[in-house]
Parts: sequence; C-alpha cells; structure tokens
Amino acid sequence: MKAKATVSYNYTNSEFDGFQYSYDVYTYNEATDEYVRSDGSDAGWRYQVYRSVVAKYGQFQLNYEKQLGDHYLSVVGAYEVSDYDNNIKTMGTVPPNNYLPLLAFADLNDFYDGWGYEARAGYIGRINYNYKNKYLVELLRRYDASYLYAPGKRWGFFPGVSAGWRISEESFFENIRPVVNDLKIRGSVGQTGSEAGVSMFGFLSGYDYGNGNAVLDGNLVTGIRPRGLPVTNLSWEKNTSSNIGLDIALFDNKLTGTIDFFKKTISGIPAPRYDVTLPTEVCYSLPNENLNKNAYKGAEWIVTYNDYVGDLFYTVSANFTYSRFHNLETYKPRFGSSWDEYRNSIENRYGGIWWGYQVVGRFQSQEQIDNYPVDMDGQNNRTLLPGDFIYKDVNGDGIINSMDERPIGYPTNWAPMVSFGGNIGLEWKGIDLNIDFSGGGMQSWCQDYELRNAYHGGGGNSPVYLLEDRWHRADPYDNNSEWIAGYYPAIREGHSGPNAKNSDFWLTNVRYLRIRNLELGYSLPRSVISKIGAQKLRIYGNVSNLVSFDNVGKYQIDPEIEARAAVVYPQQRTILVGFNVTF
Amino acid sequence: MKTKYIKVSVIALICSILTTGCGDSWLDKDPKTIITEDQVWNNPDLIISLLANYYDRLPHLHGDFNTGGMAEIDDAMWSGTFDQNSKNDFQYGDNYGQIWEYGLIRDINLALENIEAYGDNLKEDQKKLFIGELKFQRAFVYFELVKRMGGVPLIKEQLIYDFSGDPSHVQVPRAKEEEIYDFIYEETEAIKNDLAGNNGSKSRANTYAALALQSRAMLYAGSLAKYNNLMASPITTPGGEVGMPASRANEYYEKSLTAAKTILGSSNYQLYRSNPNLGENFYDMLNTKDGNTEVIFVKDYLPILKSHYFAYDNIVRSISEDNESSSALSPSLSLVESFDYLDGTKGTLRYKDANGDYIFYDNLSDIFEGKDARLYGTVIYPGTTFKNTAVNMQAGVYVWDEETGEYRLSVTPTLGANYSDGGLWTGLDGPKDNERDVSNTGFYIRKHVTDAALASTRGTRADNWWPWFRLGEVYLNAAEAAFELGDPTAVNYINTLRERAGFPANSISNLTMDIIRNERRVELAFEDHRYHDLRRWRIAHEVWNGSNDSEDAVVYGLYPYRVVRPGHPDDGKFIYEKIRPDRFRQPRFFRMANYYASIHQNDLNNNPKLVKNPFH
Repeated sequence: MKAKATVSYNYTNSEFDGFQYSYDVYTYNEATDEYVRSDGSDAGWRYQVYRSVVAKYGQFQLNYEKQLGDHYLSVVGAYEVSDYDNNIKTMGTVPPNNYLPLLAFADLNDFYDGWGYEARAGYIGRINYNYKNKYLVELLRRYDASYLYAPGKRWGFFPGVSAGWRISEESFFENIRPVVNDLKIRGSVGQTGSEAGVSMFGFLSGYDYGNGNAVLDGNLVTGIRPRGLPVTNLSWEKNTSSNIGLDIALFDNKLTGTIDFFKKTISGIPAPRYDVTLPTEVCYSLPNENLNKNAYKGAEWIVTYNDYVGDLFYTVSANFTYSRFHNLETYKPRFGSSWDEYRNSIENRYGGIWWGYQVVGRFQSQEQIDNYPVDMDGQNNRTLLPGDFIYKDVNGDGIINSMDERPIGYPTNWAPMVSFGGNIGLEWKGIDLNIDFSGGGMQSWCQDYELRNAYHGGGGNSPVYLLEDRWHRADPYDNNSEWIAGYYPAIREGHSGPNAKNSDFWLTNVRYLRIRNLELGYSLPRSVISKIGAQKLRIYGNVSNLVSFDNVGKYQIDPEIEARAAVVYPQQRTILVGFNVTF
Repeated sequence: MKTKYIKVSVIALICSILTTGCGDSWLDKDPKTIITEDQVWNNPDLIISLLANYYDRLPHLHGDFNTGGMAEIDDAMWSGTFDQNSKNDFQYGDNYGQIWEYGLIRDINLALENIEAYGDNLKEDQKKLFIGELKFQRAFVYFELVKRMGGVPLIKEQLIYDFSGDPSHVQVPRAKEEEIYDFIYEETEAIKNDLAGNNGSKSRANTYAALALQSRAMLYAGSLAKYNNLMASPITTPGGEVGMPASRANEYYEKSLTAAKTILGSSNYQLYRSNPNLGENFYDMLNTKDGNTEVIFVKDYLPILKSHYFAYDNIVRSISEDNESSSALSPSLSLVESFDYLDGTKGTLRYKDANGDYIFYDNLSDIFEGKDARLYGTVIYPGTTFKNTAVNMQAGVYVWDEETGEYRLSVTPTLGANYSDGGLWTGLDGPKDNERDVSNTGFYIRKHVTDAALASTRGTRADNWWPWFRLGEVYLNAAEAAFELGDPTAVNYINTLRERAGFPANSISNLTMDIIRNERRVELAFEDHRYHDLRRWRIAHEVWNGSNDSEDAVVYGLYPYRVVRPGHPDDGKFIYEKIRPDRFRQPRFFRMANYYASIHQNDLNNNPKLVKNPFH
C-alpha cells in the first residue's frame, strides 16, 4: 500500500508595455525648394497590460498492488482538485510627449480591472488485473465536478473499461513464436466529460456591473445591466471513446506494428428543445439542454522495421491516421423543403463538407457564349467573356444558382483528415542520418482575394501567374483581335465577375508530403576524442522543412495554410549546424 | 513505534485534506461583478447606473453620430473607404430600418416591476422620478418602433412562460398603429410632472424632454393620419396595425401644438444666439455645452472616457490631427441649394449664366454670399475656414489655351500639388472625384464635427453631445401643427426661427407646406429627421424615385476651379462646375415597401399572431 500526494502552486505573470510616438511626414515642394509637413500623426498611444494567474493543483493517491502467483492485481484511488484564478489590469493613456514613458493619471484614457476563475474537483478509481500477463483487464471510473454548472448539476460520472489478450503467450502459439514474437489484441471503451454551453456564473441572475455607461449631468456613470435567465439545467457533455487495436512484433522484434480503429462519440451537446417556440418579445428562449450528438471515427497504424546489415544499422517507420468528423443526430430536425433538407441537413453526415459549383469547361468564343442555353451569371450571360467558366447545370433548369451546389471539397480550416508520415534512420560507423517525413490529405484550400481578383480591392497587388497565364486578346487595344487562351479567365479589375462563384476551380484538395527534418551527424571515434578528455563529440547538420512534394506548386503557396490569399508567413526552412560534446 | 506513528499521522492528514477540500465548497467563489435585485433597488446610485445603461441603449436610425447612416439619404454621399461604397450603390431593402428592440423593453418593464417590489427604502418623490425616467425611456423605444414598423405588440409587463407546453398566453398580437401613438401620449402625460426634479439636467429625462417627445410623436401621428389617407392607395392592414384613421389627424396636431407651446412658453429654453456671427452661432449651438439654452435632451459624451469618432471620421482632410481616416461624408449639392438666400430667392447656386456660360467669381466663397446663415453652420464650402485654418479646396484649374482659343478643365491626382504657373492646381482638401477620405462633392460637413483639440485623433476622440431634442425642432413642430390646423400663428414660429438664421423679421408672409418642409430640412440636417419626415409626409417615393434624371435622388457635387489665363483680368478668378460624382452609382430609390420595414422572419416564426407589414 502506497500513498502519494502531489501539490503544486503555479504563479504566472505577463506584462505588456507599448508606446507609439507621434511623428511628422514631410513632402518636398519643388517650387519653393523646401520640405513641408504634409502628414503624420499628432497623437501617440501608450498601453500597459498586467496579468497574473495563480493555478493550484492537488492530487492525493492511494496505491495497492499484489502479485499472487500468476495473478496480478493493482488498485488505485485518487482525489484531484484544481483551480485557476486570473487577474488582469490594463491601462492606457494619451502620452503628452514622446520622451517620458511613465503614465500620469490626468492622461488616462483607458482602464480595465478584470477577474476570472475556474475550479474543478474529481474522484478517480482504477483496478488492473492480469493473469500471467496474458489476459489483461482494466476498470476505470471518474467522478468529476465543474464550477460552470449549477449546484446539483456539477458532478458527472464517467466509467471506462479495457481488455487485452496477448495471443502470443498462448500455448497454441508456441510454433509461430520465433517468427511472430508478440501479438496482442486489445479493446477499450471509456467516457470523459467536456464543459460546454455556459460560461462563468451562468447559473446566477442579477445585474452585471460595468455594462454600458452614460454621461449624466456631466459625470460619467457606469452602467449595470440585467443578466437574463440563469442557466441551471445544463451539465457535462459526454465523450465516449471506443477503440480496438492490435500490436504485433515479428522477426526477432525487427518488425513491429500497431493498428487501431477508434470512434469518439460526443453526446449531450447543448441545444434548444424548440418544440415550443416563444415569441421574440418574451426576450428569453427556452434554456438549452444536453441534446445533440456527433462523433469522430477513424483508424491509424504504424509499422517500424529495423535491422543490421554488417555495420550499418537502419530503421524505417511509416504511420498513417484517418480521422473524420461525423454529425450524428440533432434534436428533431426540421426543414422547409426537400431541397432544404438535402442541402442543409447534418443528420448522420460527415462534417465540414465544402459545397459549391462544378466547372465543366471553358467558353472558347463569344459565339459559344451567345448560343449557350444555360444562364451563368443571372443576366443572360451578358457579363461573360471567352475563357470564362462553364458551370454544370446539375438540376437542368437552365440557370446556375444555389440549387446547383453540390459537395466539392473538404473544410479549409480543419486539420487534414488523413495524415501520414515516416522516418528513415541510418547509422554506420559513427555517421548517423535521420529523415522525418510527414504529410496530409483530405483538406482543401480556397483561392480567393488577391489570388483570385486581379487588382483586388481597388489597386491591390496581384501574383504574376494571375496576370500572365490568362485568357486575353492578342492586342489589348483592338476589340476584334483574337482571344488567346490561358489557365485563368480574363481578368476584371478588382473582382472576378461571373467567375467569382464558389466553384471547384478555386478549391484545391491539397495533398502533400514534407521532409520535415533531415539530420546528418558524425560522432568522432573514442580514440580521437579521448585525447581531449571528452567522452563524446558529435558534429551535425540539420535542415528542417527541406522540401514539400505537393499539388499546390502552381499557386506558389505553402500547402499547410488556410488563408485564402496566403497572407500568412509560410513555414521557414532552417538550416542548423552544430556540435555536441560531453566531458 | 515511530514509523507506525508516522504512518497513522500521514493517513490522518490525507483524510482531513479529503474531507475539507471535497465537495462543492471548493467550486464556489464570490462573484466580483454581479449585483443582486435588492442591492440595486434600495441604492439610488445603483438605480442611476441602471438608468445609465438604458440611456446608452436608446435606439435610433441615423442618429448618435452614425456617419454611415447619414450617407444613405439625399443630404450626403459616402466618401470614405471603398469597401463601404455600397452606401452609394444600393436601394433601400425591404428590411431597411427594421427594428424589434424588445430586449430593452423587457429590461425596462422588469425594472418598473422590481422598483415597486424591492424599493421600500426609497423616498416617494425619488421613486416617482425614477419611475418617470423608466417610462420615458420605454415611450422613446416604442416611438422608434412605431416610426419604423407601424403598430407593434404593446407589452408593459414581463411575459412569463408557464412551461405548460402551450405558449399562446405569451403570444401578444400587434397593437394598432394609433394605439402605440396613444400609449406614448398617455405615458408622457402621466410622467411629465414627476420628472420636474430633473429640470436642471440636459442628459436625464425631464418634464420638457417628455413634452418634446410628445410633440414630435403627435406630429408624426397627425401627418400619418392625414397623408397616408391622401395617397392614391393608402397603406393599411385590415387590423389597423398599419394605417391611422384620417378623422384623428386634427386631434393629434392639437396635442402636438399644445406640447410644443408649453415648451416654448417656459423660460428654461431659448434659441441659442450667443454669437453675433449667425453662421458660427448655428455651429456653436451644438458644439458649445456651457450656457447652452437650446438643447432639451442630449446624449452626452466626455473626452476620452466616453467619446465618439465623428470628428475622426469626417473632419476636413488637411485639418485632421490623425494620419488615417478623415472625410467620410460629402454633403450633396441638393442640400446646399436648399438653403435659401437671405433676400428671399431660392437657394439654387448660380454657377452658369442665362447663356450657359460660367460665371467668374473673384473669390471662392462669393458664390455662397448672402445665403441662409445655417449653411455656414452645417456645411463647409470652398473659401471658408475650420478651426481657424483655411480649408484648401480647389478641384483643378480652368486653363486658357491660346492655340485653340478655348478654356479647358485640368485636374491632377496629387492633392496639394501646384500648377505650372506656381499656383495651386488641386487642393489638399480636393474635391476629388472617385477618391477616398476627401470630399467627392466639393463640400464637407461642419455640423457635429467638433473643433476641440485632438478630437479627430483615435486616442482622444470627440466629446460633443448628440441632440435628441432641441428647441429649434419644437418651433418647427409648432409651425407644422398650427399650419395643418389652419392656425394663422403658424407663420410666426417659422419667422422666429428664420431670424436666428439671418433672415429679416417676418420674412415669410405666405406660408406653404413646401416652405415648412424645406425649413425642417435645413434646420435639422444630419439630426436623424430627414428619412422619417419624408416618410410621414408620404413623399419619400416621389423624392427618391430612383431616376437618374432626378436632382434629389442623385447626389451631385459642385467643383471650384481656378482660372489660369495670365495677363487677362479673369486670371485668378474662380468658376464652378456641377458634376455627378463617379462613386455615386445608384440614385436613391424608395419603394412603397419601405414605408414600413419588414418584420424579420424569425420573429414571425416565433409568434404566429404577428401580421406581416404591407408589400412584404
């Protein structure tokens, strides 16, 4: 029987201090040969933020374990408490000059004093049992409370169980054991809780101080505002995770692998029980209850092989993960029409689907535009030019509108649903080489703003490929010269005309594989370095983000971004050279 | 022995930690920002805090320094950033002006119930004063609602759902349009004397604020009763939610006139006339707080602590103290031409003579000479000053070409650049066509743009107040109501107001509705009246008819040019050219459907007893 207590007290603070000076801008006046102040800023800006956070944590654990012959039993019980107290003060002044940084009361134009807290407590119990390390069982139970929920709804009960079977230990496996050294099947089901749907003190009514203000009779009066109906019937969301997996080791543990299938269901997501709708004039709606459900489903595997060939030791590993979000059910879904249901329903569907139009061709000539039976732009194709998109009229009604939208891609702002990677390691006589790969797929990127509209926003910058590889007339000053084809449609100033519709031309389903890390090192032999009294000396060179193999090269962007005009810093390539020495 | 002792004490320690730390007490902390009902209602300071929150939330459409809204009518166009150029290129949508502000109504109803339930320690007249202010705020909100939506559900107490599964007992149908106006009248009548305690205040509701609200609301009710029924097809709904009975028009005009006369008869308020220069006086009327006898009820601001961005957004470009933003509003030529000449002639600017030739003016501001002093106080035109600095406006030069024997207009994109003759080519303040943050019409706004130091910077901002009600409007209410009733004293109110604008005494002898309407436009420009006035007179669809040929639906500008003809007597003079600014894409188009905004579909879904507004 063992007892263990862990207590921690964490104090963090952050200070921000900003000072923007006033400045003058001068323009040269040729006529008088002097510099004239034509612009600038008369007022500066001064701002400070002080933030301190105190986080306390305590865990008290009792442990008991016993091995009785072939049986092993272990029991753990624990109690956990944590809290988090957050204080922030901000101050801002209009600095009277650019020289003195200290703040004066008379110059204050901003002041804020704020506080927030979090607190949680929980009881945990766990029982482990195994027989001859062949049959393994674990039972786990948590009982957690959160500060967010009303008294009486704070505690949630979350159990879990897992079991494993090491098949390789069985008697019938004796003959295969030299080849398959280890084979284990395992499965588990467990539940945890998430907090959602309510914020600090959501269950209290009353008035909030410091909401709005008015100058009454020359004095600034701070306002108070009624809080609205308290939230007293929400409790924890439940996340139920289940998985089944297999671990295998072959050929003297040279080849090892793991594969898992998992599903995580989140239930009790707060939603309104709308069967009764209250008029807007009542000014509160029926409180949310824990009603909706969604899930993540997927699989992942990893395989590693390592071996010697003479003096060369090598290891190769590859991994793969697929995880997809699935909406399961919402409370009594209602739709206005069958189209509404097809387009907007989320019942039992994958999440994050990108809907849009499909481009099935390009208009080759003005004649083709004039004779085309389908209305692309809602104005009988008046705004179309050769090279513009031919959208697919999916429902055959002769006009392209939102009813022709279909799923065309993945979300642009989620992590890729498929991710994979690998590692190659080599070691030979003191030289070591390590290459890490990672990549992803089932993720989309939408090309927009400066990368779609030439001179976006009235005079904005444009990438060279948009301006060069496009449909254009052979002679821009001659309206009768022939059209020359290109990848992009004819440019319009600041927008993309009828080609602006959200279509699969502008949405790329991104696939990439990056060499994230490549390191080559050499450890000098003992005989050499012992002369300087060192135990180990290694020199190395490391490149991170060496190269990316992807399908977005023609847009000249980094594959791992979401920003539609790529206005973010791409990942940097860093080259590092160094040495390690141990004495 | 010792080890056993340690073992026991450790276990005892653990057990005690478990029992004291356990349970809900760890999770509870004192809320540092929440106040309870009985704390509020027995503490007058906290009640004033609650009133402050509600005063801050009083709704409006184009008021409270809403630059964007002011750029959506015919008095001005938007000349700020291009991404908001939709304000120059739109039609009033079915939901323009849509409002359903029951959140504030519910908060006020709750306050009225709770002050009775909890406020035992308040003194009687204090309690009446607070109740009066709350009822004033509620009447103000209902006036905003009925102005824009017609009759709305009249809810005077908290609606409580009984969780029985049947919400019909909280579904309140729309009241008739006249019922809401009658409610506003009854409420303001009931509270006007209780509010006397605030008669020294301009920022809290007092007797005269209640009367001013009453005067405006009753005038609106009267004109709706009259003009709606004079339309070829009056806009009504069968249940009366929209459509006032014509028979009640005079009753409402009487009520409006009575309320206006009470205010005009009180010694608390006088037309502001502190500055002998009447143009500057009209500007000071809203810019000066000390000794201001004109304003009745304002939304006040303080430097830095509670200040607004109107000066930052709209100040003359070269006079801005900040390096970003400046001139988002460009007043229109039609507004400038609404200001008549002091000799009685119509305000049309004479930039071309009878033969169609340009008139040469010696000075930039000569073309505006002799106009209604209120023009100076409302609009900054070429040749004037702001903050004691000359405004640098010139669109370009009018150059004589010896070879062709003709003049031509010439502009440069560089603001402030000089022409080859050494003189100014295009001014630092434009006007420049198709540009941002500089006037596109040749005019800047002066009214509401304060000249306080650093008011146009983002750090300090502006602190001039927003006039909800002022005496000038009360004169106009009285004039209109009296005129509609056939009362011959109507013309006196107009003439008194015009004297403040520089006109001679009794400048109008033959009063007409058109004169009253024009006076309202020039006196109350940019004070959130124009949109509502054109609608209640039922002429909005005629004035803003969406036609490119209309002088009212299209915003025009007037650009000054300096004459360059060395050696000739006209050299250095100025001519003006009328232009249609390129950024102004679509003429203002008001349709029948805009007389009452649509009710949002969610609100219609939530309350099946609500009737839709006509044309939606």
